[in-house]
Amino acid sequence: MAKRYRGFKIPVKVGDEDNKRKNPPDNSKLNRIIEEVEKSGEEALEDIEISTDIEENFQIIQKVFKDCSDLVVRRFTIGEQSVKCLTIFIDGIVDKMRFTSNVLQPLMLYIRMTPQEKEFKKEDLIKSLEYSSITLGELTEIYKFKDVAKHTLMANCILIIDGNTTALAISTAQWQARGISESTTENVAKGPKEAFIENIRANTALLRKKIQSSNLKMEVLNVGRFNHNGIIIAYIKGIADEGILNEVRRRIKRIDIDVVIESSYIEQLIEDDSFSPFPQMDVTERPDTAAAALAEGRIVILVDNSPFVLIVPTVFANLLTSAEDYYERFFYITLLRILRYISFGVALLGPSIYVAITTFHQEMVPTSLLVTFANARADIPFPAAIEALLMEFTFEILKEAGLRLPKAIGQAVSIVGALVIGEAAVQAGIVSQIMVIVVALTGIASFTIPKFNAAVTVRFLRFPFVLLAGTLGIFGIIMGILFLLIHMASLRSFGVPYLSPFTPMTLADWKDTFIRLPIWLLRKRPSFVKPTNINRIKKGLRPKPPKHH
Amino acid sequence: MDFMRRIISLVLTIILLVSSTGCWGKRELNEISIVSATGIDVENDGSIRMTVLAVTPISSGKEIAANRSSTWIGTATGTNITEAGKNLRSIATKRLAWFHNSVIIISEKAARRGIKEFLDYFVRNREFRLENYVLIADRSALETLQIPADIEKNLPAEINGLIDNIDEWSKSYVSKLKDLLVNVSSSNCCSGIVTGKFGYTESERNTFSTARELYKRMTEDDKRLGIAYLEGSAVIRGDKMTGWMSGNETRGYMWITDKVKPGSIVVKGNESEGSLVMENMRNETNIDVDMINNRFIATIKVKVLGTLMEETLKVDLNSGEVMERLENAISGVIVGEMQAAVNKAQKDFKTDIFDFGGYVERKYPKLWKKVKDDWSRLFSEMEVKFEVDTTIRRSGKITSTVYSDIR
Repeated sequence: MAKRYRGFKIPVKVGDEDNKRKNPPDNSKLNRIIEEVEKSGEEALEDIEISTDIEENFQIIQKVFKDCSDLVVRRFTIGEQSVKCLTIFIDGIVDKMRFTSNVLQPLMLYIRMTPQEKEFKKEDLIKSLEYSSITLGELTEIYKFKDVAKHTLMANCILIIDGNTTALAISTAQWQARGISESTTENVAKGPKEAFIENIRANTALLRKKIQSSNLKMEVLNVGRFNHNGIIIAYIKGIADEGILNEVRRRIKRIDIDVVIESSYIEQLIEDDSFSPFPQMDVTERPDTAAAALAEGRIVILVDNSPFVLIVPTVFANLLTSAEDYYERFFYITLLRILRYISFGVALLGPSIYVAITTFHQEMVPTSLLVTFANARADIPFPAAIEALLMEFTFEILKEAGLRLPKAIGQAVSIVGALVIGEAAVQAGIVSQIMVIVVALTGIASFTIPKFNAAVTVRFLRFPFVLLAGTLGIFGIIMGILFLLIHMASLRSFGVPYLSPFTPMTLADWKDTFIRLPIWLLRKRPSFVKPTNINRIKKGLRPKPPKHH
Repeated sequence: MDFMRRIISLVLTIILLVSSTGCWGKRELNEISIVSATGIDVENDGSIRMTVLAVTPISSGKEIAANRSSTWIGTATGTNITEAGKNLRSIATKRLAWFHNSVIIISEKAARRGIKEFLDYFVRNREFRLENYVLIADRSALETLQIPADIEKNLPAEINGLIDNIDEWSKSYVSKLKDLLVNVSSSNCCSGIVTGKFGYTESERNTFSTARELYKRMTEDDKRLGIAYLEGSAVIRGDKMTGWMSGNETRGYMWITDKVKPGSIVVKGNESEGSLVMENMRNETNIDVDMINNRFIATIKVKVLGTLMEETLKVDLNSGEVMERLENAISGVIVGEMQAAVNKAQKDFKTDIFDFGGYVERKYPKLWKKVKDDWSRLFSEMEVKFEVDTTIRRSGKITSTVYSDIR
């Protein structure tokens, strides 16, 4: 490389005098820029190019990052020609060791040992350094102040050299992030334990580790005005549907928001129906779930600073699916799936059916059971509907209190709650034992729903159902269910009907809904995701051990 | 904003809808008494007495509960059954709800007077299920419902247990409200139905608690306290009861109508040297009614499969010839039971409880139209033939006999 520069015979003298000479005519322009920056901050930098005059650049940077105490500016000169240099970075988010050994040391020390050093032409210095001195992997040439600010904030270190209109953004990022740890919201007994973290690069790495193919595409989209790392849309090319992909891109691109704190922001901005109680996106912190979704032809949206990734399109059946469903024997999982569908119903309708039966339809239960119900309710002063609402509220209060409190106190809350509400309320004759059983069963049933966002839906919908049951009985419940079903049937998740594969019915896709067939039978990807390539597993993979005689 | 207006109007609609119902039809569980048995009597002055046995909620696990009975018996009279039912409310403290009523007890007197008006009431009233059992009591329904429950929680529970146990011995048959309804609406002028006889015997106590302490504490009065039983049946012709049938006659009826459930069939040996008992396991009855020489002849073919329960005749069970003889003897007993039932129906009651008329109607529809008015006479004169084919399929745990001299 160095050979290229051998032709330059006359070393250019770089000194203060040159700058001073040039400065006066530019001063007015500089002042104007500084004024603008003062007025409208970073936005004023849009079209301003890096000047050849390092002092000018320095002033602009200082103005832009005024009062940003975490900005570090290091000025030094290179080589015997003493070319003025400027590096800036934000303290705390760059790796200082890397900065010192791979940027400062080569420029300040090693460059003097190279024979070509004296022949460097000042104007070409940046190219020369880029090619032969800076020993870091990621370098970006930048020309505008807009990018200087952006790259600085993306934890890069910026190198500006006097006389050059090109600056270098050197990747020295070292974001503060916790290590990859176990999933806390989606526990499994068997299967990978790792979970996504708040660093998007670590998250993409976790996905890449699972799917090692160049077809796994990760498109970056920036949406936050104050975020630069933004959003990554991950999908497998050749499997994921282009139409859905375009829709995802379109919906994300229209977002204009100051700052994206969590992936839920994005979820709420791109979902199909904000007023639906149902989540229209799978949210997971498990890389294995995300990778499996990618392999199914679904699209994963990663958001920086959030350990939760979004998976689209999502249908109702996905909400009752757990990662572990694919790691255990399929008989057992089929049983579990059916159990989950039942407990979804129990969690949704448990108290309301009890209320409806005990206030309107006593003829529906067997006599001996009715007598038990009646005896339990004999001295209760409230109507069943009020009793149910009372208990449900208490349950929600307990749950909320236990959730927000520090772990140590949370224990105390659950003990006091269980004892006081459970025992004392029954003893005092405020609620009946049966109601306590119903509410407890309902609560526990709602915990069997693997996806937390779906459990929330059920918990919310319970209240209107109790009201309907208390006023109109089973008739009211049926009306509520019809209303809900109509809503669910009309709901779409990125164009995919929410109730597929039940309606519109594709029988072949039932293989992974309330039943789960063995892996070798899950040969095709779910067709409602509209995968470009539907075949997943080769035919005839049923294990066949050799016959022994 | 249009969207907000839609949301607000939706919320308002729901609130109005929900509040306008005013919990219409609401009936809290602690406001009702669950009637589980209903009794009907006819008083001497011709008024109707309705007696209900209701379960009233008592909070469980409290001290008071021990001293309070959860069953409540109320009785009231009225000029008709509806009136009697309404008059019950003057003494009831909770709303009476009949939808869990399982037994209707009609006194013999009321049954002999005719049950048409009661039937109309029970079928019309939406709180009564057609699945209700109808029993005829040999005394008044009021007295019957006052029989203290022995081991179950209350009398209706005991009655349901007795009815379930019919399947184990087949000497009673209980009809449901719907069967009675079908019977009264039959085109057969002398169609009849059989339903259980519910009685009470005070002569001796048949069941005891075996707990020694309880037994010691039992007074003589306690020991005399009788026990409710279900045996035999009442025959109802049209809507009026005509008489009683004994347990064996009832089983004869059940053989013919293919309603028989396992029971014991006893063959006495000669000179009381022993007996043979078979329990029928599976059976099938086919009835064919023919018109031969201007006479109706009913042929009843019964196929029985059974298990030996007892065998003290000292015969060789391994011999095919002996087995055939035993089977024929059992067939004879079954024929005897059926013959007894047919005799009673033809001679005493003149009631077609077997629905032979229905067979004639299906086989000779045109002829039936001519003869149906005279069916009462024709039925009592018709000939009934029996063909019973018994097979002893199993002999229990042992294949031969316990007597050593045979082996």
